[in-house]
Amino acid sequence: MDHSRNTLGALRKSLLDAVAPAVDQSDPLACEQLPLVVDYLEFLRTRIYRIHERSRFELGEYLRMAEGLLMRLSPSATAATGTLAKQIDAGRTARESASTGTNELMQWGTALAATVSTVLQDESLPDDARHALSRWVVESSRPLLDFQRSWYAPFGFEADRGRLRSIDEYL
Amino acid sequence: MTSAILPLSDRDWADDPTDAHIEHLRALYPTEPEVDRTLTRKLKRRALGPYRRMGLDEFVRCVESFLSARIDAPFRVSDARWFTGGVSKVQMGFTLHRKHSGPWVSERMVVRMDPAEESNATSRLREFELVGAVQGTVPVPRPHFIDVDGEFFPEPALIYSYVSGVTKPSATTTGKISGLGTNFGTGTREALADQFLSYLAALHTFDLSAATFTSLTRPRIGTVDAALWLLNQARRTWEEDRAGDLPLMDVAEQWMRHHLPVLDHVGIVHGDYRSGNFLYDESTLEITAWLDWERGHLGDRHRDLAWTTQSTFGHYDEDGRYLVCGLIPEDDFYRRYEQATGLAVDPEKITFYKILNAYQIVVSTLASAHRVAKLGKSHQDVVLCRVKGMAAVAADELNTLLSEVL
Repeated sequence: MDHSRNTLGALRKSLLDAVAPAVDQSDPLACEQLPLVVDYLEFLRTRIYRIHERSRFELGEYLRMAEGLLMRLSPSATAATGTLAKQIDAGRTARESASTGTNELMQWGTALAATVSTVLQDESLPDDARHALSRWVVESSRPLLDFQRSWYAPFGFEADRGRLRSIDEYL
Repeated sequence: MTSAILPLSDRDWADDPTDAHIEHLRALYPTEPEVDRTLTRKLKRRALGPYRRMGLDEFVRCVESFLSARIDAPFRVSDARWFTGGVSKVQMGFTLHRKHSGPWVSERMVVRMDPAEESNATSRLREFELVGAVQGTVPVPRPHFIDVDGEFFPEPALIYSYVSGVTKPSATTTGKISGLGTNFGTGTREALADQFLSYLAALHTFDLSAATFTSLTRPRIGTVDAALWLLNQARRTWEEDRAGDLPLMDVAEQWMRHHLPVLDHVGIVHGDYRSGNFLYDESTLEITAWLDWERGHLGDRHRDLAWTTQSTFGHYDEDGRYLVCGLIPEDDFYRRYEQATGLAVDPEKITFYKILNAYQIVVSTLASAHRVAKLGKSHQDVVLCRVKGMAAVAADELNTLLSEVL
């Protein structure tokens, strides 16, 4: 059984109890950064066992985005269409396999995002096709971004954090 | 399963870009000469290694060596101490004692030096020239000396006079990072709002006819230069710094390239006009200095207006109204601005620049912050890792804005 969450808590306590009192108060950079490190460790403690789920969720969202893109492209529209179709198949297989590791899930998500970007940058696309693809990317980005806002909400950049859903509702 | 089969794009080239990479990006995304110089310098120095924190004594020796080349009179430096408050610059305060023809004169000063790389690659020379130009128009620290290319310091640096004041109420717990979302409280809020607006108006109506700059290029009225330069700067930085792709950014770029606004008036654009970037006296509630001019340029007022109204800079008040920079409701903000400047606020241009600004924040917080922290290039890598949280907010804002125009 992995004990990383426990360890992160211990690291945080060590910094607060033993290191913080020894920090030179005349060194403002050290005084500013120590609480940020402590805070990040606490954030990581709450997230570390959810990173695999996050990677799987994000891959699922990129698959949905890529599938929608493929549906809106004519089969011969771009050279990237064939690549996209193959990546969707492989990415779906990876996502559905229980043996797929976290890093691999992240890599498939990254690869799909890169291919979608390549398709979007294709200057040979007709204007109406480009418009349809753009609208789809915006629409399909929504759940991904909503989730990421919830994931990073503890960092305090939200004007109204109470409006966000819990990450449990996504994962 | 194995990751060896994955056709991943190799963004790691950006850790050590070749001259061919750099020239390709320069040709692809033309922008102002000084911006080009700054971005090119960044890439050419990228592989030189991480930022090394200097000791206070070592930094003072840089200051003394630098001032020896600039001051032709006896001087000494005392009271050196580190400052915080900025994410992007290494800052040290000191007192400079100088003897001209009369008695010794003492003045408190601040050094601002770039780290090896930062989340916004900007020019100290532009900052120096802009702040010098607006002396007497808005309250700013007096810029005294500049080391343009890091001849005496490890990196480019400039020295300002010190100005006292606070960026947020002493008692507040808001605005912990760079003053974002600061709640000034009622009373203070109203007193600062008038000054906040009038200084912005003064910048945007600044008489440029007598101004001479070596590091700022004036965009032509009646063209799309102003917007195009900024878009190219942001996209070039995205290409230089990002770890992976975000398809939304490609959608945004294409929309912007097809909707570049035509410039109708050239003003001084502060570039980061918001709470957290001005100092005020807590007893008199007077703004004592506008800071952080590193994004300053000559261009379209709508860039500032759209920036100032970004959601991350403000908060909701007690009645549920969103306050721009925690100071003033958004509709009041535009109405009072038009009254103060006599310049129209064009909603379509505001929309364009809101999209460009959100795009630019995503570039800084998702792409540049990642690359800088990965390579250990700054004194605030831990903060840069944290601003990933802002990337999600900015990207979501970008997404919402695009959904309204597509």
